[in-house]
Amino acid sequence: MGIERLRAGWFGWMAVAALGLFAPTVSFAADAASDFTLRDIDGKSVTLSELEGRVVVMSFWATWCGPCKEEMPHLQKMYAEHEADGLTVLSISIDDARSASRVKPFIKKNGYSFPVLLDRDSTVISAYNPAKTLPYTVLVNRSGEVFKKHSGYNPGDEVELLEEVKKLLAEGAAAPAPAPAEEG
Amino acid sequence: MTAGLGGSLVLLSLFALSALAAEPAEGSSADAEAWSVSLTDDLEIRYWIKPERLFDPADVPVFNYVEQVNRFNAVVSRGRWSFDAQWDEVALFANRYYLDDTLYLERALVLDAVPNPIPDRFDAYTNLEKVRAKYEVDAGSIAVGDSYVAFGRGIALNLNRNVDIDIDTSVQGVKTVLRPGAWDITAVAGQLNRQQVFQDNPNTEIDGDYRHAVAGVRAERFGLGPADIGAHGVVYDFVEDIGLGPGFEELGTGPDVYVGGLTAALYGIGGIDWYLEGDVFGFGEDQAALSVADPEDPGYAAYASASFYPGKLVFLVEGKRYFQTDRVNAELTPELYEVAIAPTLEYERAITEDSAAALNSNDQWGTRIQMDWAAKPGELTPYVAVGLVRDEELGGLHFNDAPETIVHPMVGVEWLAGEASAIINAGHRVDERDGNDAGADQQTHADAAIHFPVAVLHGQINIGAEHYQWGINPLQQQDYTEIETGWTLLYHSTVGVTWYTDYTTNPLVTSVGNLSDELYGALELQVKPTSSLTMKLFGGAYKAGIRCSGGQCRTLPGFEGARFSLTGSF
Repeated sequence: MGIERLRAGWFGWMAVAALGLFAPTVSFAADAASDFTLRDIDGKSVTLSELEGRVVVMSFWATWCGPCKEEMPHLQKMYAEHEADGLTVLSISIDDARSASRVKPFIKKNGYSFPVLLDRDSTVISAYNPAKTLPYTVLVNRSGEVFKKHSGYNPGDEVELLEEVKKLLAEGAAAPAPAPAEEG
Repeated sequence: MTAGLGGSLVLLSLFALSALAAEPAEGSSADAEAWSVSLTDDLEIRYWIKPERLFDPADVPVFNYVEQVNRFNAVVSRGRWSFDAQWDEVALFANRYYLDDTLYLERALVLDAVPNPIPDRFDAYTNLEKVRAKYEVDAGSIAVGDSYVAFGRGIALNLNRNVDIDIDTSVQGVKTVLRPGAWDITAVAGQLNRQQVFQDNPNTEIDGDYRHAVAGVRAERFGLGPADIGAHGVVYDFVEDIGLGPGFEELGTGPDVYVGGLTAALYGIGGIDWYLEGDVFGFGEDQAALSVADPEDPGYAAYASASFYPGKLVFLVEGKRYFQTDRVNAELTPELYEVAIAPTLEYERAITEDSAAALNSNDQWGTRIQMDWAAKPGELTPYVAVGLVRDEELGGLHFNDAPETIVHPMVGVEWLAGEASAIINAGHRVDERDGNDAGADQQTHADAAIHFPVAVLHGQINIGAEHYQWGINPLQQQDYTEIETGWTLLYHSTVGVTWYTDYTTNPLVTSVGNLSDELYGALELQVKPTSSLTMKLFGGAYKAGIRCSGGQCRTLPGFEGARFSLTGSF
């Protein structure tokens, strides 16, 4: 029937694909963590830059995210054991405005004590993780620089995270900054 | 009115910018003058196997094609400034054929009216989808370009990045947040900017962006005793043509929709955490034509939640009453997104083509009560819940012919024990229409995510199943069953293999299985060489169907073929 397939444009757009493939292999020096201010589940304001001097684990999650729920007990344990050493866990819920009422009951039933912030319009996660995969963890050192980003959670990830947290806590451990004062 | 409010907000924003810029910038890490760069790239290459043939089933599969999508995000910051950009690109390959020396294009990627810097012969499209400059200090921030914004519980305005179902609509304009003392004041004005390139869905006939105009302001006072209170107002002007121009042409005309609302969050009053919101909606003449009730009827919405924690029990009680509120989204229906999304109180995994209508009803009330028991806090928490919804809307954009009452009890448990875990939910939804003694629509559903160690590996089983049994109605369909499973073996977080199966007898599902008409199978290999780099290779098929996330639902097409994806941030 005279059908002839025409494969047009492959070479040009494979260049774009190659960019996508190889660009992620490029590494950069540590970057300053992008600052933000969010309200927590009790309406209190928390600003990331006020935590400078502390090691910060930012964990993005949502009430509908199963792997997030699996990770949270490990974050709670880590927070309980190392808060006094200068660790802050910022648990950032990306439940949208519509389902924000479900966040605090979830935290209460599990007895978590770390600060839980509400990113109701996805502004903060869009800056840190545009792909919005969950859970998403950002580890920030005492200088306010992003030390590591990690996407997803599988058993064993918490062991690696704890080792890295301990390493960062050991850096400048002589004078851990106090947790920021809460404000209305 | 829109023009007046929008103009005022722009002036307010400029004033705020000058005020923020004048603030001393001392004693903060944000003062550092080092450049910071964060880049994310998400590449997808999909080989689509299409069932269509030119003349008869024995023909070569000429309509198979390859689609390549790339999304590149960059965030560059220096001191208090940050600059974001998102560049999207899509290209089709093997999307044309010659028949008797005539070149045929199998499917159009972009419609002619859409600006595209890439010549037609490349069958590709690119778009600087999002761009934003933001200046942030302790006292607030101002952003010019694409921003996301939500007021209250999202009833009046709720625009966020909902990539789970390929919805990403921002406000392209100015957004200002001021934080004087215990106040948060948010003002936004601009045009809506819907993403043009889909990452998980097929890109065909990209038709451009209808840049509807929106302006809104919200003021919140925190720490007023045990209360946070807020007030907001939003106006919308919808346009009928694509491009930047039509939105500006609407300036000076009356708004299509205007919304005002009040909120209060009360902490520990009577041992209960309360949230209360009320909104009123007004509609311009253009919107009146979309009304299913009296065109002059204003809309209103009330939402309340109360949570309390006696002993090891946690209660969450929610209530809603919405009347003529979803009309705000009526103009946007063909564009597959919504600008305002009220709490549905529904369990999203159980939403079907039929029940989605109840969520978008213009005349509904409902309540939901959930009780969790923290048997072992953080480890074992079973729950029971029941939802009750009354949907009164008939006709118009809603296809009910009689009011209906929906009852939806559920039970579930979360068990998290180190390397093993189980999250299980199950429920039965009954949808009973008034005056109908021939039976109700009934849906029985269950889902489970079970994780467990397997020697040095880790196993994951994800299962969801539902059986839908129809009552009698004019749109009678056949009863159906759907089952989705995923069986995964992981080696640490580095390598994972998943076998997926879908089964459906739902007549509304348009796709056809690759193992049989009703059965779909697929294998996926995931490799994660570093914590910020993920590669996936998928081969097989999955079914079409409705999927809901963040209160929005989309009917997604099925897929058969192969897919490679790479996501990296650095």
